[in-house]
Amino acid sequence: MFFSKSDKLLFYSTLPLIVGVLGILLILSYMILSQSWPSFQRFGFAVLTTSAWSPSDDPQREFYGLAAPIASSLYVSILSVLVSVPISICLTLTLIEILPKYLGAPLRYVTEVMGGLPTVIYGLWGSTTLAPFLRDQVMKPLHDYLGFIPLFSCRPLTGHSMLAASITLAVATTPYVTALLIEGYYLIPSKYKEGAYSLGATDYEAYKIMMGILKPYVIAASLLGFSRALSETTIVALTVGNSMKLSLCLFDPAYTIPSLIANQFESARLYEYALPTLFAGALILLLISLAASYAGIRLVYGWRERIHV
Amino acid sequence: MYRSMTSRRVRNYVMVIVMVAVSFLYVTPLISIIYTAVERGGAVLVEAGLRFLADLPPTPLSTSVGGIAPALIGSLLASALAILITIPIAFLMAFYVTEFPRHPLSRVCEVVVRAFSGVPSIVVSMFIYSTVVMSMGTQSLLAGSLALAIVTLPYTYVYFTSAFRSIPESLREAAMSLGMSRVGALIHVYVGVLRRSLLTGLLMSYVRAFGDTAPLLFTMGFLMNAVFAGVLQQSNAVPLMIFVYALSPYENFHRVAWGATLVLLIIYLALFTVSRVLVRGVKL
Repeated sequence: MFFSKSDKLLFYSTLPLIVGVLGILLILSYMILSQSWPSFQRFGFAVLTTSAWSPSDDPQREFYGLAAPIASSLYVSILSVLVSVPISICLTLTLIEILPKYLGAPLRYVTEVMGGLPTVIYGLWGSTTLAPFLRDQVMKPLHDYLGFIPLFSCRPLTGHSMLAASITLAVATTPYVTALLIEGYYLIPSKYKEGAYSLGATDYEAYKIMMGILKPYVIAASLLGFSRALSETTIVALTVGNSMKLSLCLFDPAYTIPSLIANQFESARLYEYALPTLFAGALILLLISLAASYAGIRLVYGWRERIHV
Repeated sequence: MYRSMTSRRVRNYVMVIVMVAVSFLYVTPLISIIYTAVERGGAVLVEAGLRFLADLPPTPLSTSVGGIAPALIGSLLASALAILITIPIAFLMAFYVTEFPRHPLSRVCEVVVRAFSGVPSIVVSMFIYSTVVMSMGTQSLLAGSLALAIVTLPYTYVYFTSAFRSIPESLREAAMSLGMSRVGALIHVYVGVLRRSLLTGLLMSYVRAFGDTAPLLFTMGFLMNAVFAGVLQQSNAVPLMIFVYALSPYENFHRVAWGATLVLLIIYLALFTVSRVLVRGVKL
C-alpha cells in the first residue's frame, strides 16, 4: 500500500483531517441538539404537534409549536420534486438521446449555468416576476373555475405562496437532479438499448425501457432533490409569503422551517424559548435532510453495484 | 397489449416532441432572469455608474442609490478565505480516497463528506452562530468564512475526486513503474496532468461560496457604514445584501438589490465561463 516513507506520512497526516471533519459534524449535531433542549423540556412533543408562534416577555406565557412549518416544508419540497423530476427526465433524454450534438451542447451549458446560479437571484426573480405571473395566469383561473377543490380553494393575494415557492424551487433544483440522472444514464450498459432496438422498439419505447432500468436512480435523485429543496432558505423565504398558517391550499402563504428561522432568528434572541424552538426546528430539518440524502446515496450505490454485474 | 405500427409511430413522435419542448421550455426562466436583471438592475447601474461598486449603501429614504462596496469587499474576501480553508482539506481527502479506495477509512471519509452535503446551510449558519459568534461576541467576516467553508467543502471534494478519478490508469501505472511514490506521482505527474481541472474546481468552489446566502445570515453581520472593518469585525456580502434588501419595504432598497443582482449575475457568468473554457482544454 505504501511505496515510500512520504506515502506513510501522507496517510497518517490525512487521518486527523478526516477525524476533524467527522468531529465538526458530530459537534454540529450536538450543538443543535443541546441548544434546542430547553424547548423540548418546556413544551415536550407539543412543539412538534401544535402550531403557534406567540413570543412574550414573560417566559411563562411564551408558546411555540412548529407543526405548520414542518408540514409546509414537506408539502413545498414534495411539490417541487413532483415538478422537477419529470422535467429532469425530459432533459436527460433530450440532452443524451434526442438532440444532435450542436443543439445539445448549448442546452447542456445553459442547464449547467442554471445549476450554479446563486439562489438569491432565483429568489428575487421568483418573488418579483414569477409570483405575480403565476397569480394572474395560473392561480386566478384555477381558483375561479376549480375553486371547489381544496387545493385551489383560497383566493390568491400577492402571489407569494406555497405554489410560487415550489415552482421556483423546482426551477432551481432541476439542474442538480438532471446532472444526477445523466450520470446514472451513462452507467447503463449499452446492451439494454441495443436489445430494445433489435426487438423493433421505437425510440420512445426504448427510452421507456432505459428509464425503467434507471428507476432506482430516479427515486434516489428525487430523494436528493427533496433534501436540497427542503433545506433551501433564500428562495423559499423570498417567495413563500411567510405566514404562520397550516393550510392545504396551494395559494396560501406559509412558513417553511428555514424561512421561519431566517425571519425570526434576529428577534428570537430576545425571548427565552423562541431561540431554542428555532433550534428544535433546525434539528428536525437536519434529521429529515440527512435521512433523505442517506437513503438517496444508498440507493445510488446499490444500483451501481447491481447494474455492473 | 398489441398496438398497430402507426399508433406506435405517432406516439413516438408526439412523446419526443413533448420531451424536447419541455426541455427548451425549461430554459425560459434563465432568459427571464437575465432580462429582468438587465432591465431593472441596468437602470440602477446606469444611474449610479461605477460609483455603485465603490460607494456605501443608501439610507432607506435617501434619493440616491449609493453603492454596494462593503458587500463586494466582504464577498470577495470571505469567499477567498473560505476556499483557502476548504481547498487543502478537500484536496488531501480526495487524493486519499482515490489512492486508497479499499481502506475502511476511505469509506468513512466518503460517508462523512456526503453527510455534509445533506446538512442544510441555514443549520450551518446557526451552528457557527452558537459557537464562533457567541464566543467572539460579534458577528464577523471570519465567522462568515467558516460557515461558507463548511458549506463548500462537499462541492470542492466532489470536484477534486472526479478530477483524480479521471487520471488514466496507464499514467498511474507508468508513474509507479518508474519507482515513484504516491506522493511523488501526485507532485510530478497528477498535478501537471490535472492542473486545469484542479483550477476549475478551485474556481467553481469560489463561485459557489461567492453566491451563497444562507450560511451568512447569522454569521456575517450587516456592515453598512464602512467599506471594511477588519476580519474579526462585522462585514457584508452581495447575496446577503440582496436578500435583506429584497425583504425590506423600501423602494430604494429594492433598486439597490436589483443593481447588486446584476453585478452578481455578471460576476457569476464570467467566472463560470472561464471555468468552462478551462475544462475544454482538458483531454486525457
